[in-house]
Amino acid sequence: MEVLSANGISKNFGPLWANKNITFHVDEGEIVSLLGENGAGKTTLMNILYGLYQPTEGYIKIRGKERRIGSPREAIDLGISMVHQHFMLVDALTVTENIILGNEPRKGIFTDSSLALGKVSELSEKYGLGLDCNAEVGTLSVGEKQKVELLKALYNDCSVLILDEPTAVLTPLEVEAFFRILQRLRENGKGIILISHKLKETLTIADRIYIIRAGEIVAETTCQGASVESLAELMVGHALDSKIDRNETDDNETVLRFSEVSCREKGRNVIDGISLSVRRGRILGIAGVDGNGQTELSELALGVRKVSDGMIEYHGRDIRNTSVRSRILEGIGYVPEDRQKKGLVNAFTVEDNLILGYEDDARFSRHGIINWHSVDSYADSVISEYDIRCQNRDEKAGALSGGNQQKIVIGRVLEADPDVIIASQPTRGVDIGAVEYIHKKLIEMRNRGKAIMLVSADLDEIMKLSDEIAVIYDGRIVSCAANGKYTKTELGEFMTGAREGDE
Amino acid sequence: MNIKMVRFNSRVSYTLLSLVASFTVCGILLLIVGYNPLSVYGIVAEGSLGSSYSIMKSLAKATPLIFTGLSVFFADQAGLFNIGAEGQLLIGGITSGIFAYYFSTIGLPPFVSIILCLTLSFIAGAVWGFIPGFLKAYYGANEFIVSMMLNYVAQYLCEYLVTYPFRGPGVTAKTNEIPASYQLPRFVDVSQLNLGFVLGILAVVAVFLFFRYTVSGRRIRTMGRNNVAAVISGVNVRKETIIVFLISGGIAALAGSTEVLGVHGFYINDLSPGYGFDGIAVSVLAQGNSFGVLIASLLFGALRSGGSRLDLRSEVPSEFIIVLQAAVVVFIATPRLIDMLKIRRRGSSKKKEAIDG
Repeated sequence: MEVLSANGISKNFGPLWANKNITFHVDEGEIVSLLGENGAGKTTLMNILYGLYQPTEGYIKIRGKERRIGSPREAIDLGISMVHQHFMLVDALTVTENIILGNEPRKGIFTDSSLALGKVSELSEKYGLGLDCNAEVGTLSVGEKQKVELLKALYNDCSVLILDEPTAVLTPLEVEAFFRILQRLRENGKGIILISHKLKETLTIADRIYIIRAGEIVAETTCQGASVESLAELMVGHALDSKIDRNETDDNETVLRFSEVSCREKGRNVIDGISLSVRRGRILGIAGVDGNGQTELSELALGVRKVSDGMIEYHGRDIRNTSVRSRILEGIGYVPEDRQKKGLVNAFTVEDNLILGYEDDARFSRHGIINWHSVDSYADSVISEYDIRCQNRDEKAGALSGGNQQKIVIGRVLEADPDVIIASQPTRGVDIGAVEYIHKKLIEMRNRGKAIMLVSADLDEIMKLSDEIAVIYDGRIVSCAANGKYTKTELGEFMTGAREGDE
Repeated sequence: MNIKMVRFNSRVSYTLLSLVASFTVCGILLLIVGYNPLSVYGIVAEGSLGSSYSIMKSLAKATPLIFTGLSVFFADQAGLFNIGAEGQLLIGGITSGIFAYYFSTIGLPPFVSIILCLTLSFIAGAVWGFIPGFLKAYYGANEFIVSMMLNYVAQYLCEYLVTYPFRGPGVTAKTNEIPASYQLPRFVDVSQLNLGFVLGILAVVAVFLFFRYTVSGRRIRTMGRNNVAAVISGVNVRKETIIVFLISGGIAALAGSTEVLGVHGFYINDLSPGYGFDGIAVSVLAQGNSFGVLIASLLFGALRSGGSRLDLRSEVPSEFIIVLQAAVVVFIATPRLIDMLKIRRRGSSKKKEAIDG
């Protein structure tokens, strides 16, 4: 039975149509995926379903009845719950407290804690979430926090669950566990709307797939007969050329060398005796679960953190005591893992962000005075070259979609013609079109003789791009070998510390 | 339409609406207490803009605010709070008071003396600003608190200096009178308006150019908007913190210097009726725009000069102006309040989020 349907929904913002005549439905016990690039209009649609926006045209039916959803509160009352991409939890409260927040069962003027706890743990059990409902949320892992969000939605007794990019922050194992929970929800008759741009995952879990492009639904398909390639084409609107030729050169001189590098912070070695060589015309993949020292390793190379022991050489020169600024200008390009926090200034314009860290470069300034004339033409050329979709160079970077923001960061680094590129999670939270583009650029840079260190938690990405793969676990390199020596499963074992000592 | 235009307009309209709102709210307040707000505002307007004399008086009152506002604004661009403009002003004032008189006694050419006094005041203020900047950069001290507490240190230090070692003749504690030729020239004899006002405008232009066209200015703004990204992009945050406080302190000191050299001709206790603190309000009102500092200073200067008429011509005490200024700051600092007052215009503000997808 149909629980929710959108009928001819259109939404415009001024002259811009974010959604055009969108019609779709979700049944009880069904997982429907809305697949589309960033900027395709998925979020607008979800915000309409969740009562944050009102559609310009069209209407929503819930269980066959036309309804107006005026606010999130009304949406929840109608049985629609949403799990956002960014968690909305209070770290200092327990799981149960977070879930009942704003909806506490009462006993007189007090919260009925035991009833709450009972209800919450019953739900957790029913759907196999396996959460300790008395644990403080701040102590939970990302995967567990997601489950709390899910539980919050279930506590509201929803019949339709909207999930916005739920796997973006999860490790491969957590994704599997998460999907098992979704299946359990499906068996219990929930209608699930999954917003995603991850094709493989969508194919694994969804019953039906709607592909949304430029605000319109361009195709509806079931998983049978759909392939990653066909979906990608529909999403982007043209065939993807994912094959990139690699050329081999003999000149694989080491550009950046870590020798027995350790980094001690708060009494503990966050980096523990790492030796690595990043070489010309090669991509060195650093695989690992987040938080095992990847960030520290990259930031040691950039100079944001200080080496406590060991040596870092750039072109054979000790760079341990040089400043970040000089390293950037001398050709160490860094794409940080968290573009919002580290890579961009959201309040700055696209143009400002395109020279961030390179203001001193001779291309942009002389004697400390910025030549805006040349910056303007540079910015325009990067915007078109890297297909950064923005209104113009004066738009605030914070207003752009994730993929386009990432293109700013990548474009800025690559255009500086660095000798070594440290790309940390370069495609995280980025749509498929941009992923392909970034991968292509990285290979292109490799072929042009750049030394590349690719840090990623995504094994598919690592295995697709790297010449050599090193696995980092607990601040140490537990394996380092040519790409192809180990299978994905074996690499996964190294990543979780289940296998070790093979260097 | 050009996106820059849209944003500019919305920001200006916000600010204007805030002003209208605060005047309205204070008007209602006057009504409640039993005065006619229109006649009160009339007196203020006449007192600030009614004659060429009153206009000059408004500009004169605005002069120290330009400097203190610019000082707070400068630190704010780096994401730092300089609440110490008041103290830095006093330090700058006494430096000029002492040295201008000294230079006149040794017969230095007046022109050289003025330049030297301004420079020395700037340096003294910079030294005063260095303290919170340094403590923040190297010991993680809260610059807000340190710079604020230094106001008291400055106040009592200056009080001591002017009461004992550098006291001039007379009943009140003040430094020796600076000969007229060693003071900043006035435009007309009857008005306190002096060259300091022009210096203030030049300072605003300089700060604007600094942030717009220099690499250092860019880096300081980066630091203010996203500290982590600044570090990643190679900004030495410690160094810049100290530099920002040096400059911010120096600019605030010029407020004291121009007051002493241009208005009073000596340093006196209570040189500032809170110009340093008004500078914070000016910076808030400026909304991140260097020229906004100038406009905000002119507004506050006009209110002050017009407000002094209230004591003469009405029953309303001139302190009412302080209430009005406070209301302006409250409305500016809480844009949501204006949102609530504003009839919701659909689309324009939400458009961007939506395009994101």
